[in-house]
Amino acid sequence: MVNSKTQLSMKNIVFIPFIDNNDGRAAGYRYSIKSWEYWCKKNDCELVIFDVPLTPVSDMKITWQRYFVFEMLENSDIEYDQILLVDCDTIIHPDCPNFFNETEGLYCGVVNDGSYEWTIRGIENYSKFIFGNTIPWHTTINGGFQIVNKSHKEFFKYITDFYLSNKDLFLQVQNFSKTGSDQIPLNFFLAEKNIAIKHFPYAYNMMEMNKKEIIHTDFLFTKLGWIFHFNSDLPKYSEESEDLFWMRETYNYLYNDIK
Amino acid sequence: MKNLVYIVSIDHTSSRYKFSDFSVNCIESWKYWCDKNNVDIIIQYESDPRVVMPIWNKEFVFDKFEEGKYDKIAVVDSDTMIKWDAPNFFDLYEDEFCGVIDSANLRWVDNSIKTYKEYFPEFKDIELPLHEYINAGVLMFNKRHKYIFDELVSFYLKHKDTLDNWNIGGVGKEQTIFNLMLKKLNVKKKFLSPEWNLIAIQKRGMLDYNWQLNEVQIPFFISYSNIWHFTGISIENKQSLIDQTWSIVKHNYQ
Repeated sequence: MVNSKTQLSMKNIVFIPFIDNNDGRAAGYRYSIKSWEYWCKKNDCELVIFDVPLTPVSDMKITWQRYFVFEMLENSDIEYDQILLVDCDTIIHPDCPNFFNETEGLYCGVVNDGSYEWTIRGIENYSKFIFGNTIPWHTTINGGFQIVNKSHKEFFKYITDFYLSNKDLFLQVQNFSKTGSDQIPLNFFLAEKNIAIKHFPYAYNMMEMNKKEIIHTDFLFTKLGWIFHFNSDLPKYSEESEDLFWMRETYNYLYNDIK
Repeated sequence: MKNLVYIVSIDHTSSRYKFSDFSVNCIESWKYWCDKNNVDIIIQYESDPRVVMPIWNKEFVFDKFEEGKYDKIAVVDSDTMIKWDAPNFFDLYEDEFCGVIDSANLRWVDNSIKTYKEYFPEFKDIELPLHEYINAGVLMFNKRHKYIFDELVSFYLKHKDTLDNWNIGGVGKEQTIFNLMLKKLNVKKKFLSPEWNLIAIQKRGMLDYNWQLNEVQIPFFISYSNIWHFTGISIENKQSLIDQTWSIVKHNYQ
C-alpha cells in the first residue's frame, strides 16, 4: 500500500502517489522519486511512496486517494510529524531549503498561478453541480504541493467521506469539467472548513512554466525556484513524451554531479 | 482628507501609436468610478519639462498637488479600465505600499532585474525575489510614501541621459527600477490579488467564458476582476480589445 524508504522515528514525511499504469508515464516519474529521495536524505525526512491504490482508480483517482494519507501511515506504523503531499511530476532542486521549517503549523500550499480560466471554469462547474456556493479564484492552491500535520486529520477524513458519499456525482463532474480531479473540490473544502492556510511562494511549486516562458533548454527555471512541476503544456523537443523528456533532462542537469 | 487617482496619458513623439487614443475609454471608466467613490482624479496630458519618456511622469506625481492634500493615492496606467462597481480599493490598505505581483513572464522579469542591477551600481547588491516583483501599472500608497518618489525622481535626474536614451529591449522602462527602489528602501508592501491589476488577460485565459455551462457569455476578466490592464498583446490588438471591452460594458458607466 505504502512503501517507506527507511525506518524512522517521528519525522517529517514526503508522501508521493506514484502508480504505474503501464502507460509509459511512469518513466518520467521515476526521476521525480530519485530527486525526492536525495532531498529527503539530505534533510532528514522520510519518503513514503503510495504505489498501490486502495481502491480502483476508476472509482477514485489516485489524487483523491492521497487524502487517506493519515490512515495509510498509521496502518503502516509510520510515525509522522508534518506531511508533504507532492505530485510525482515534480523534480526538487537538491539545494531546496527545508520548507517544513517554514510552515508555522499551518496548512501550506502555493496559489494556482497559470490559467485562471481553468480555475474559474472549474469553480463554476463544481459550484453548480456539487457545492452550491463559490470561492475566490485567486487564492486557490494547487494540489501538487500541500503540507499538513496531525491537526488536519479530521479535515482529510471529511474530504474522503464527502467524496465517497457523492462518488458518482464527483466522477460525472470530473468528466464534464475536465479541470483535474481533487484540486478544485479541495479548495471548496478548505473554504468550507475555514482552514488557515499559509501560502508559499511560487518557487515551491513552479507550475505552468511554459506560460511563464521559463522552461527552455537553458534550464532558466532551475535558477528561479526549488520545486519544478511539469504539469502543463510542456514544450516539445523530441519524439518522446514531454514530461519524460523534461523530467529526465532536469534531473540530469541538477543531479549529474551528485549521482 | 480625500484620495486621488493619478493617470498619465501622454503621447510620445517617437511612437506611431497615441496613448491618448487607447486611453479615452479607460479614462472614462476611471472618471465614473472616482466620481462614484468621491475620489479626485488628475489626468496628466502634458509631460513635465524635465522628462523625455512619458512613463517617467508617474514618478513626479507628488509635484502635481499641494503637499498633504491627499491621504491615499493610486497611480494607474492609461491602458487600465476599472469595473463600474469595483469596491473602493483605498479601503484595502493602511500604511503599506500596494501592488499586484507580476508573474506573467518570469523570464522577462528575471532578465530585467539582472539588466538594471548590472547597469546601475545603486542596485548592484539588491536581492529582489521574483515573488515580490510588482507590476507598476497600478500602484496604491499614501502621502507618507512621498520619500520613495523623491528618491525615484533623484535617480531619474541623476541618470537622465542613460534613461532617456535607453535602448535595451525586453527589460521595460521604469517598472524594474521602481521595484528595485522599493526593495532598497525596505518599503513595507502589501500584495493585492490579481483582481486589482489583471495583466496578461489573454495569456491567462480570461478572455474566455464558461463554454461548458454556457450560461453567461461575458469574458471572465469582466466578471471576475476589478481593474483590467490591457497588456501582453500587440499594440494593434490592444486598441481593438479596449474598444470591444468598452462596447460590452459602457452602459454600466452612465
